[in-house]
Amino acid sequence: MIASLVLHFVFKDKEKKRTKIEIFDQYDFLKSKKDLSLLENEELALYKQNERYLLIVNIICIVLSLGLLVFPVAYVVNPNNFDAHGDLLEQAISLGIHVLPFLFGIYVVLVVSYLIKEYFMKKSMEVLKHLKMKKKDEEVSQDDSKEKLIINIIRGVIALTAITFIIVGAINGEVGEVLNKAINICTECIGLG
Amino acid sequence: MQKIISNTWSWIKNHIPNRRHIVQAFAALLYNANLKGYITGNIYKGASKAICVPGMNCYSCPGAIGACPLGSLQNALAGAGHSTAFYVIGILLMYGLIFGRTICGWLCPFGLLQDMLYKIKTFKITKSKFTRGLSYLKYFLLLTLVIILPVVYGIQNLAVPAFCKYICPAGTFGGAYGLLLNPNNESLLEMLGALFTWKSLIMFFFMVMSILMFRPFCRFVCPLGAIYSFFNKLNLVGITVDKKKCTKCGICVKECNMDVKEVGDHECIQCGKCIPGCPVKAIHFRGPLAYLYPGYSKETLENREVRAKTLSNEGGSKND
Repeated sequence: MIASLVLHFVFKDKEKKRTKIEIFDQYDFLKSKKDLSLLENEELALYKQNERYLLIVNIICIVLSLGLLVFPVAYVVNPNNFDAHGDLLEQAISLGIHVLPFLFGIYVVLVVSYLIKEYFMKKSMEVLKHLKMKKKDEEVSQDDSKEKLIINIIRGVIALTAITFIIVGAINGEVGEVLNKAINICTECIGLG
Repeated sequence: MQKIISNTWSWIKNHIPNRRHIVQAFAALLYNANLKGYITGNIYKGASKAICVPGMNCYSCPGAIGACPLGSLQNALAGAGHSTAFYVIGILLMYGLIFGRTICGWLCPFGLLQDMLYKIKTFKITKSKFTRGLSYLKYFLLLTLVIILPVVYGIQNLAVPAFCKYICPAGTFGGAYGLLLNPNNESLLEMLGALFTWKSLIMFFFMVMSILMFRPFCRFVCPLGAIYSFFNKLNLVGITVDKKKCTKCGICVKECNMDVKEVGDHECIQCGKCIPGCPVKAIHFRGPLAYLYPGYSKETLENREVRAKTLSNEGGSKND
């Protein structure tokens, strides 16, 4: 979604826009489905180098974006910058001057980072394209067992939390409160106000 | 006379409700087992009302023997500042963990009402990207009407169960009309006003829409469904897809009347309608529901494969 938003104003040609977004999807697909163990040493080194560069670009993009976001946010949250009795037009212009350049800066950072990432993704995809796909069963069973473990852990946590909450609620007398509300006609619920 | 009897009998045989509807009907009867209340016009005041039922069932309904989880949650949150809501939240967590949105598909009386209304033969409004987007409205309503408003007013010592008060059609249907239609409750008729008119309009709107589209309340509005949807990948009883068999043909998503992107996601009410249509039999119930296969149709394997081929020829396999 962010890719399409960023690229919307850069590439007016719909076909180019669609191709650019597809590159990101294609890259994710190849990375998850190809059997990386078949990469030879040189190719593996190149692939890892590209991944490192992509990570660095992502980190720089996030740091710069957040850094640029600090200034407009600081301006907006400062109540001294807004006076209901003052000149509203002047305040609006001041708000625009203090916020818009930074938002534009963030937009430029995102566009540049996407263009750089696209370059490295294409290089990685050239390496990955000729690889065979992972064996489906192995891939599914490995993903499955990890997923099942995580799900079971979450289930255990929720179950314990639920039991604890019910016991604490019962001790606090909330059961009586629910009963008290339920045995009287809820005039709000039936539309009597 | 014999012809009438045989025609009636063949109609009955052809319209035997599937097992899911039977379970829904039993659940509705169980939640509203106080049949005496419909005669006397009084609501049940027994101890079982301290326990929340899993589905939407207003506790002001004369037959209700349990509390409504949504109403109880709002009233508990409305006590913010001087009491807590651990008990109701704990019950919701427990129901969500065990059933998730299986409650919507199998244990909700208001869901049953919508299912029955949908069977009326008219033109139907099918799902689309718009309805998929609209399905997120229920999360907004959960956040604002069920959580924020009761807490904000509760801090000021005003109990405002906003969803129950301004929207809930289940309360209007079961509670309001259940009480007001009883001749012993004439005194309540004098209290009717604009709020009752508003709520009745909402109720009739959803009833009419239920004829034209599948479960509009569940899909777009129900905050209880929104709560349970968070548990749809975690619930112990429900529907599951065997990923080793699944070929991602998308027939299950096409068959489904809800706004799902895949079987078992947060919109899935685990009704099992997709099970007969799967050409590779990758979808099945887990837990006790595995013994209660809905038997949506009496198709043989042959018919299932023919239907699957027809569906896949119609529109491809996009799950979007």
